[in-house]
Amino acid sequence: MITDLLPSDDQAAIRDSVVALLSREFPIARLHGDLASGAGVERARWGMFADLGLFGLAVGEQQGGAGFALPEQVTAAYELGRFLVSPTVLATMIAAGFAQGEMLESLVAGDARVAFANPVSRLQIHGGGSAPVQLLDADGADFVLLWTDEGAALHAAPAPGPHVEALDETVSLQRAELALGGRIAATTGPDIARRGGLLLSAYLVGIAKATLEMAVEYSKSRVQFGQEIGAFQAIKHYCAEMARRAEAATAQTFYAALDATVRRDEDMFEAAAARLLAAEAAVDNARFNIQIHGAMGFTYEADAHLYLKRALLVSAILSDQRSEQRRIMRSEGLAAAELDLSPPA
Amino acid sequence: MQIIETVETRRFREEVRAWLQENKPRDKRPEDGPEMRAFDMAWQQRQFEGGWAGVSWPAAYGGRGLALVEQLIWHEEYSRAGAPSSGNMFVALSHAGPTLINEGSEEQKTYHLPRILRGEVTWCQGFSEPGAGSDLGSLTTRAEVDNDHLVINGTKIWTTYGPGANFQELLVRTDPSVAKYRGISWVICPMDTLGVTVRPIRAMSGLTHFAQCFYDDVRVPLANVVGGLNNGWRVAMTTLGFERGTANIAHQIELARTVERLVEIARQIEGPDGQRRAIDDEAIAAELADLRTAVAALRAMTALTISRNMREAVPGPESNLVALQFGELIRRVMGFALKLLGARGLERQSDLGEWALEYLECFKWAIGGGTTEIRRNNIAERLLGMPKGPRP
Repeated sequence: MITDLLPSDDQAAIRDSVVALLSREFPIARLHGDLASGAGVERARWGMFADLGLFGLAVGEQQGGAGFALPEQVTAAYELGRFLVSPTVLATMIAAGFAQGEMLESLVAGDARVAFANPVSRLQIHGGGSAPVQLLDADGADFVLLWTDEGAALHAAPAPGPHVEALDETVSLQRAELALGGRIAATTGPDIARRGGLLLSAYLVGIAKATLEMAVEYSKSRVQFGQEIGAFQAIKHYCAEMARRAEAATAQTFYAALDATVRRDEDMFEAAAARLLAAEAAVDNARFNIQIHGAMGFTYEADAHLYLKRALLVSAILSDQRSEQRRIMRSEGLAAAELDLSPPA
Repeated sequence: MQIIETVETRRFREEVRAWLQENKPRDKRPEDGPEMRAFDMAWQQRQFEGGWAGVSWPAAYGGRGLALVEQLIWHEEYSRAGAPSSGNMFVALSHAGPTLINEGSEEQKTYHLPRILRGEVTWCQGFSEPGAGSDLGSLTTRAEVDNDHLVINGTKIWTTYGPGANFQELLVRTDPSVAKYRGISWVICPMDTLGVTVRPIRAMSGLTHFAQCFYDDVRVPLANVVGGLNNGWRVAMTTLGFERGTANIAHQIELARTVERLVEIARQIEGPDGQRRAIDDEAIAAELADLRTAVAALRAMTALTISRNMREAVPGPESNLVALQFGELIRRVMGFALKLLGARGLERQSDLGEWALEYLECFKWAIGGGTTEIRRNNIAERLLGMPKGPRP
């Protein structure tokens, strides 16, 4: 499959409009404020995401959307990661991919908000009974979203338990018991898992890129032994590896997004590879960014820890390393990766 | 982000696939020596006769002159068909030829390019010296102008496919009085010129694919200078740019095949518990999954690099990223292969013996054409804009 992985004109325009909004209304500094946890700032300005067309990006025009597809959503998700925007924005974008009727309308219009329900043990997405889940930034949310390889489901937000002190304090975390039979909308098959996973991957890639840029900027300004620390090879080689990881994750995520638009079979290879690379790039780059910032990087006051905590959180939303590795080994692998792609029209 | 294959390019892909299936060599490529060189030249000749030589080269010089998308499809199908690497033809096809197309005089192009495409000649590279490796710019092989000739004295080393080559792309110092990158020239050196000595070097794998070359008052016509006297550094950097471009397609597809071979071996051999197959061992399966993932990344990084090259004529410093990924990954793959094979990997004569050779050979990918450390410096300084380190 021959691809152009750089942004098209439409994608560049989408990227620019998302960046313009995020840098104006959602600067990283907001995460040091009182409204940080529970997506306080995002909730107060939720209509801005809808006005930007974020939730209807991949929704057909006759249903009030923009009629774009996964690559355009991935473009936006990447920028959301750079600004550590609440994962509820991603959850709402993904839910719009299979919600119907009034529910879809309310999501696209910004009248409803979706949070991730992250299972703490394996569950049957189409089964009955109930399962313990973590709700992420679900304060005041209308719906919760979850998926497995068998399908995806949307539920009315369950009664949340008390807030749990979380590794990432800037995303609220509650435990809840989710009644699996109570789904409002559902799909079967891995398509939403693939697409949703790719938006989470793109978000992680955004973190990997943002931390690379922070580290490089700092290395150019911090002076020790009479020169910028960025002149030392030890720092250079850390940054070069950060660039390589970010590039690998970016390229694979973009490639997998194109693959998912033409794939008809159940194969999860490309998306699983993207998720593994994106999680590795985000967490490792966030770690090295802390190291390059030295003692300042270890403080609560600096931004560096915010990226590491968010990288760890998003890596663990509906995913873990071993599950992704198992998906990859269940696949026929790269040699057969293109066997069941629709011929492009 | 878009798929740029169409019904037309799909048809072209099928045409390429059919030709390669029909025409690719059936015999195993000899490992070393003159037989290997003859094999590589014969395969090039076959491609020329089939109309597939020089897919990216202008038709005026006997090339196929394909659009970039079709070139990429050719390279993909070529590697997927398991067609042999260009080997002894590599420098001519991927370095010297493109350099001549961009920088050569009309006479140089009309003489050399058709001979390369017909598989009549092989080329080697004469860049590195015993005292100029990573610091290539400090090379000291001298060339003095004597009327209409250059007189060359000095030595070059790590000359891949040097034994048997007809021509060499040679970097020589033509002006020692100016800054080191300014006084260098890129010269076509016929290897049968009086005073050229080629001494094969045996690599740690046992193969003698490279050599040291000695020049003792070697007289080469001034007309063999490419891109003008003292312009050699710029010409050479263009050449290195080619090396970091589409050549990666073949690497990545071959490495994917290598990883799939390992998956197949792990399905067949006994695992560490003596009861299940190796692939049923959790740690082995996890490592294979990570290798598949890293190869997927290499494939996507190659696509991203090519996407950039579609918009910019000269490859930028980003191409170091994909080269770095490849150099690190192939060593990881081969290192894992030997661990997976255990005692079996120690026998070079067995049916799994080729792994030992491949393991020993893979070290070159983190050294040749720029060590991984130099690549990291380039990424940091040229791509990320970090301050230059001390240069003694």
